[in-house]
Amino acid sequence: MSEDDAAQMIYEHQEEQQSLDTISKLENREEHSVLEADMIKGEPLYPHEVTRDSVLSLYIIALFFYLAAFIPPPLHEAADPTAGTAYPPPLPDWYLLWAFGCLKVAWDIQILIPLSSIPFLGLEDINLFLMTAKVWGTLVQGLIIGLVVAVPFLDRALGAVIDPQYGDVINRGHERRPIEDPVRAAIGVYGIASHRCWKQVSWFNI
Amino acid sequence: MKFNKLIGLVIGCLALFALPVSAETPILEELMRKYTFPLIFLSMAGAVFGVGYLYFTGLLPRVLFDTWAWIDERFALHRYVSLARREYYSVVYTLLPSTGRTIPQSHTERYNIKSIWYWYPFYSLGGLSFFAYIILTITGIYLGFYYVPDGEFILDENGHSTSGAYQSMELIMTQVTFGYIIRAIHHWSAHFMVASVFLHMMRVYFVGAYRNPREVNWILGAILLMVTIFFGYTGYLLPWDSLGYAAGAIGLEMATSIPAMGPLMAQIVFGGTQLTGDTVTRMYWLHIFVLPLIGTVLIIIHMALVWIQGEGEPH
Ligand code: HEM
Repeated sequence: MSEDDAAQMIYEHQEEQQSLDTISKLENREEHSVLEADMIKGEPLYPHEVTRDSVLSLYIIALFFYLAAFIPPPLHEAADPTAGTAYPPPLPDWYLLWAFGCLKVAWDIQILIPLSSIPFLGLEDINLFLMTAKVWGTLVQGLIIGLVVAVPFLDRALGAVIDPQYGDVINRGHERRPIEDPVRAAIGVYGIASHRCWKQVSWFNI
Repeated sequence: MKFNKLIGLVIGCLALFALPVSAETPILEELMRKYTFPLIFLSMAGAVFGVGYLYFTGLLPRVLFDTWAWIDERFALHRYVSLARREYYSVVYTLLPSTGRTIPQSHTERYNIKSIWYWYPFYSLGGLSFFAYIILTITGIYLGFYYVPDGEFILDENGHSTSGAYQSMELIMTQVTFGYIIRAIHHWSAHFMVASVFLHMMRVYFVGAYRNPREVNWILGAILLMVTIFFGYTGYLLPWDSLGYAAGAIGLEMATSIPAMGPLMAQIVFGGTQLTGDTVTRMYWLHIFVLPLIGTVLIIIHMALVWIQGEGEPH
């Protein structure tokens, strides 16, 4: 028996095996439980989204190589705990500037409002605001993150307030264009704007 | 068939020739410098040529089948293939039973849009974040071969402060083969990933795709956003240059200012209430083990949920 004959036999065997499997599975076919939910009518991740993504991925990998070739990643002087850092300015990466801005705002408020720096009950750490700027700044960051996490629930509550009868039902699973939901869109734009402002503040008085 | 095996043998021999090269022997290092590019080029050209040869002689299906049969005999993969195929078609037919198509209608078809809609790229941002994550993993593995997580301050021969970590970064930037380009791609894809995750969140927000069945995905996403930012922050410190040190000082201040559990947070994240060599070790372990573990698991769940629920894409 030649090699080709053996391969042919294996091929036929596999085919048979596969069709037997398919037939037995189709006969004992069950409903897919997830699909029973009628809310699910989204755009499929595969193949539609994957197609769009793979086209863009090619552009993006080209972009990475282009940037990598022409703009070198920075490597400054070695860290020196004894030296002051005049350059580069002590700033975090760009995506953390908003958090740094929060700290600065809190710091400025503490300086601008002298009341807040008066010690409370004669204690050093505790002032009339009961907290220092750093604590306020950090708490504000936590608050912002908490707001972001709570968006779906806030949205529902908002719907219930605007329309007490159907508000929280009507939005169920309904993605819409921003123009159809002006309140949500406005809140979003406000969020982006305040993010931008905190970022700006982080550059003051370096 | 025999000819293919011959080609395989030749390529295998070339690979063997490349393997025992050690960076300690100058001659071999010289050889490596000279032949790395040609070898990569040759093997890529060989792959293209080999596949092209098989394709034009009509042998390609046979070779693919032999490979498949070899694997299938051992692992009975046909079971899982038919299972996956059945699942996929059951999904398609249940969602759109009337079409009888094997592929569901696309957004363009459903709403009869005549051209590619200019908002479509925004829906790719999640996928592009994932793509950047994969690139970061690959380049990060390469950087990990050479980076030394040693942040102890020492003096170099000129009396300037330096550290093992910083010296290894200098090595990567100047000496290591492909070190510069790999670090540059790691750097740019990290920035790209943070940006695209932010924008992805905005698109989800502005189309209201976080509503009813998708709240869990929003919360997972918010955690992923923090994981991404923390990835960036820990990586920023690793070179242990003056910029990373300054960022470390700010982060440490923020951590210690958290009421009640500040010192504990500083201990967990920064390895103490002072910036020392331990900080770098902490950041390294977070950056290369803890965050990748959490991030990968969460991304898999996040994307599995999108797979199950579909994307919310309004018109
Ligand atoms: C590592 C970061 C992330 C990755 C890799 C990722 C990946 C993805 C992918 C591939 C999709 C499919 C749809 C699309 O591409 O737009 C998606 C959808 C989604 N993502 Fe993310 N994502 C990430 C971060 C986030 C963040 C920060 C949020 C929000 C806080 C978020 C919330 C969502 C939601 C709610 C969906 C479902 C949207 C829909 O069904 O239309 N994700 N994610």
